[in-house]
Amino acid sequence: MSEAVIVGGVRTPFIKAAGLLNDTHAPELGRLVVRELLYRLDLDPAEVDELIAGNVASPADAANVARVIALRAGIPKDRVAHSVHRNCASGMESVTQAIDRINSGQAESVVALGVDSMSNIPVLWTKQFAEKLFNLSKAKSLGKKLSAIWKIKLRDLAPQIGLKLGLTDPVTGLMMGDTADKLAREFKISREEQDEFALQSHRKASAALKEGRLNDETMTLYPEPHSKPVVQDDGPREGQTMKALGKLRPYFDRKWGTVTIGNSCQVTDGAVALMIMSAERAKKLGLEPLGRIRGYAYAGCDPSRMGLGPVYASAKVLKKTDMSIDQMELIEINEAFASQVLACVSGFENPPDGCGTHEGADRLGPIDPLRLNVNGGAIALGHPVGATGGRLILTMLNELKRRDQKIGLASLCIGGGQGGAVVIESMAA
Amino acid sequence: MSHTWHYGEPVDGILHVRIEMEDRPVNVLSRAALQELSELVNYIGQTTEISAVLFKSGKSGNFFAGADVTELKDLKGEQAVLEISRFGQRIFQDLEDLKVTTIALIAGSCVGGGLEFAMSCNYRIVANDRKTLLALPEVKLGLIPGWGGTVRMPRLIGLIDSLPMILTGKMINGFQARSRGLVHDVVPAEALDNVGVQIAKAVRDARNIKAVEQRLFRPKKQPLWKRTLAKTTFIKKYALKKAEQEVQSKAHGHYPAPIVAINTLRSNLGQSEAVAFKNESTAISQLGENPVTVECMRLFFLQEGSKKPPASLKVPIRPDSVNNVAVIGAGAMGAGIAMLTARKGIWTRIKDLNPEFVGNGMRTIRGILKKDVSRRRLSKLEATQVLDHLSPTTDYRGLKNADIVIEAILEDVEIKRKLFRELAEATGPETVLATNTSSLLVSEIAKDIPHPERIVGLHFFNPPHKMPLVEIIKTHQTSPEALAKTIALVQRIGKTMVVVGDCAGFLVNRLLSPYMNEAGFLLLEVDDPMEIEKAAIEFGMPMGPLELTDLVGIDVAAHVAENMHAAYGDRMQPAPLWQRLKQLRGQNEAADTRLLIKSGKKKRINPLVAGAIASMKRDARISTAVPTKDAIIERLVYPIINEAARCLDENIVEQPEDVDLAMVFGTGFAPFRGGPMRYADSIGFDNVVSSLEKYAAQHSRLTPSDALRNLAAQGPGITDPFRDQSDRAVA
Repeated sequence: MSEAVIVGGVRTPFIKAAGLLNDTHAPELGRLVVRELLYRLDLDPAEVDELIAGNVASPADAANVARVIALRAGIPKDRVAHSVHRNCASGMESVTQAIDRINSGQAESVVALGVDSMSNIPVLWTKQFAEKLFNLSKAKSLGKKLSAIWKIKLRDLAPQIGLKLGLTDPVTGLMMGDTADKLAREFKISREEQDEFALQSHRKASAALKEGRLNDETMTLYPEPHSKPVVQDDGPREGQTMKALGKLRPYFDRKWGTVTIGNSCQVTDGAVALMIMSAERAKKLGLEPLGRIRGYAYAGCDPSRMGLGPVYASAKVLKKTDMSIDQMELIEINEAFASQVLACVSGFENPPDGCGTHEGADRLGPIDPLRLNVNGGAIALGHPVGATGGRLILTMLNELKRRDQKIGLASLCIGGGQGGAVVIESMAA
Repeated sequence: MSHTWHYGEPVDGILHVRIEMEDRPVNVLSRAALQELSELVNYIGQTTEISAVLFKSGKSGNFFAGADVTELKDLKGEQAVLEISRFGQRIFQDLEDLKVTTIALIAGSCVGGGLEFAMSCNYRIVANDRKTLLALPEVKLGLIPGWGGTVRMPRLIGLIDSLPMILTGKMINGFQARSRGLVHDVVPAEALDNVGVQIAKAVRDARNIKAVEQRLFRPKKQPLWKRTLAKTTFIKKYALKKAEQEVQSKAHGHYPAPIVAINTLRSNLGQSEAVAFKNESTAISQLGENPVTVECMRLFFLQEGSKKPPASLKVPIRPDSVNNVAVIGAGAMGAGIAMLTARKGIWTRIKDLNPEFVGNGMRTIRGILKKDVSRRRLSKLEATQVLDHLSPTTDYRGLKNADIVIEAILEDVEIKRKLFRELAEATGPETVLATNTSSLLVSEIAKDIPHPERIVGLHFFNPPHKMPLVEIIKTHQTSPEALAKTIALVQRIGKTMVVVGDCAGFLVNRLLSPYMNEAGFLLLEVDDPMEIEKAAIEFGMPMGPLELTDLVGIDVAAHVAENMHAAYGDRMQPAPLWQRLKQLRGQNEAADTRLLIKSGKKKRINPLVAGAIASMKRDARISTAVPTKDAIIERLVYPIINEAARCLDENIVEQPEDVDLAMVFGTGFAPFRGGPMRYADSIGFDNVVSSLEKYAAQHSRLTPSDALRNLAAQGPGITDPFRDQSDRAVA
């Protein structure tokens, strides 16, 4: 059995939705980042066996967005590509699947991609309207056509916002923000604590950008229509204050809630690509491994408390890798919501009910705040849903290398009630 | 036994004819092929069980390339041309008169005589791919269609739509052909056979053919008023008049073919087709021996020949050896070059110093593509595919696998050398390093760079996506492998190339330099500066030397003139006016030192420049006689010839044809005169020498070179109109 290693990675800047990348669709983001990755590694596209893309918004014109990206990026036609969807962990799923493909000997080099253009989530017509349009197209005579038109009412024209639909859990009927409010209530996390966490995220991310710590992993884009360079993430607000955050009204539970758009992740466009190879192939091509995934785990949990997913998944992966939380030199918990991360922090310390069903709860424990999300998280950098999993891994590999450290844990919560976690080992010399 | 038309027994009453010339890369209508067609038509007419004939090419990417140009150029005398025209017309008429259904299934280029053949069939079905193009390009060879094209084209698509096809040789694809009514349908190439059979059967079984055609093809009809209007003689005459005015304003009376075509079309109005065919034959026979036709054909062969590498290159050209290029510099040149390579499906990395420069380059490229999409030269999908092949960057990563890196940065030798040293590190051992310099020596840039054998010059003209010529410069160190790879790239992007030696200005700018410079001297002698422009345009240049200088920019022109002076000595002494204008510019950055400015529709001399000229004239007290128009032309053009002779002598180019090709395609040098060397040969090199001697008495820079005297001593025939280019090695 060959061992999978990560030999390189690059990402686009994460850009607020409906902004600079408004005209750059997911397949284009994916193509750009894959080409850049191949160029940076001086890799012939023919060296790629497979491409796996994590993507949530599923562009209507590219149902299997992975295949579209692979072909547009010049990966030979006889290779394979598939898209994966595990909601917020789609970008992590593509990495873990790539590793499985290599470890099981089915591929030797795989591009693991995470990509989402939240700017381009389609707006949908209601089913009633679609039916009426269909009837109109079937109508043959003028009379029938007129009567079909007559049946279309103004209220039919109200669109359904795809983004809103996507962020609502159909099983519980709760929006993702509602689950965050629920955790805030249950774990007694105040508005101030959440805002303070959000502020820190902005401060850490701004510092990272300022010091150029994210430059290596970020490529420059020249998007349509003006081709103006987009050099870095535009989410982090250097001058963020508690006062400004405090002014925001609760967004989900408008009356009594504590979750605002200020202490939630930003809606963002972006893509990440990682090159994963068998150790032999990497050696043959003269590529230095950045690191490897020691183990990964996904865990299920209550959909209405989906934010706790990282706790369960981390316990599972620590057991799998036979490690404990205090061995983790860096920890990433994706910042879907400040309340959700804070609930997880408390959950790591006192594993909540349900966690016991997964063995490994004993390997959890208090988290050193200095190890957590050291370069800020999605509250500042944004959360292009399908891309985030890849970013957590890429950023952690770079940060471990920078700090000359070895082991880290990256985790995220998953809409619908799951968690994902990977234990990352840096192999950088 | 036929060598072009292959067929077996009819199947179901349908005869399948495969057109495939055995000993040619493409199908052409040679005399033999026509003769065989005549026999085939007879056979079809006599065989009762045939109800339909399907014609399809056996060549990939080519249906019919038209008449056999090699045979055409050997036709001597009006009578011979008349005879071949009547011969083809008669066979195509027999084909058209057949009682059976004839269907042309067209995939690949179908041009000239090939399209005239297809137009003589009952139905034309074309493939929907990019290689399928239809045109009547005879006018580009100085001819007009001679096998019924001027009659059948207007019959099928109307006179007004025919005009651009016949007068300019406009090429159209299947969809454009269908919307004009030239073809009946556009289908995928692999469907042609099946569609052909279905049409044949449907027509055979039809009671009402019109109804069947309506059902099968659903032809688009123009509104009634348009159709009626287009049929009136008055409108037709008006269209012809308009077309004639346009041709006159563009060709300045140098090219007879379009005018002959217009006259033929005009005299055919209201005539029976039998008369019209006769008119066509008479008209083309008058053109056959016209010197312009000879030069047009010669240039056609030169261009074909230039697609082959020079004979001295012993390394094969592999078209697939260039799939990956990098362009350094995203200015107008770099962006244009990157767009060209990406357009041909070559993966292209484009680099500049900072994101702003790269962004500007990307905007340039997107601008060109957008324009091409709006003009329908490119589909939206194709434009996306071009951009997919581009990857912008500001660093050197990703160059290790590049087949060729093309440098298009500042014209500064030190900066370029620094870049090449860095490139030598950043690229792979096989990567060819090309410089797009226009004023520096390639060997100068290559000096002390590791592995200078992989360094070449690749000189594009501005704007690169429009100018057809590329100069490839080989230094004494350039390896044949590097040269072969560079040639492969130029072939792939479809440019005409000339391989030249390394010298200041290379070939084209070296020859242009004395021409533009002499205009600067002449400005101090003539009464009206526009006389210089008029003389040059009358000679057949696309624009006068003053307009050309403005296009380059006076600052650049003055700089180049100084470079040339340094390289070649006093025969390239810069015109003093350039220095003066440079000074003016030095005193006032914002000074408009363009030579010409627009006034209304016309151009006239810039008053500022006129002032400078006047004061210089006063200071110099120039009292020479004002040069005549002929003298202006001679003083502009003969120095080009003089310098070209030196280039030949110095082996900068291998043969005089290279000079002609480069000057016609690189600068637009009067094509109907065949290029500088051909022109000199036609008027006599000895006459050029004696004229130059006369001028040299006053202007020593115009002294004829020994090289030119040697050519004069050889007598006429330095340039054969149709020198066999087959001595060039075939890849």
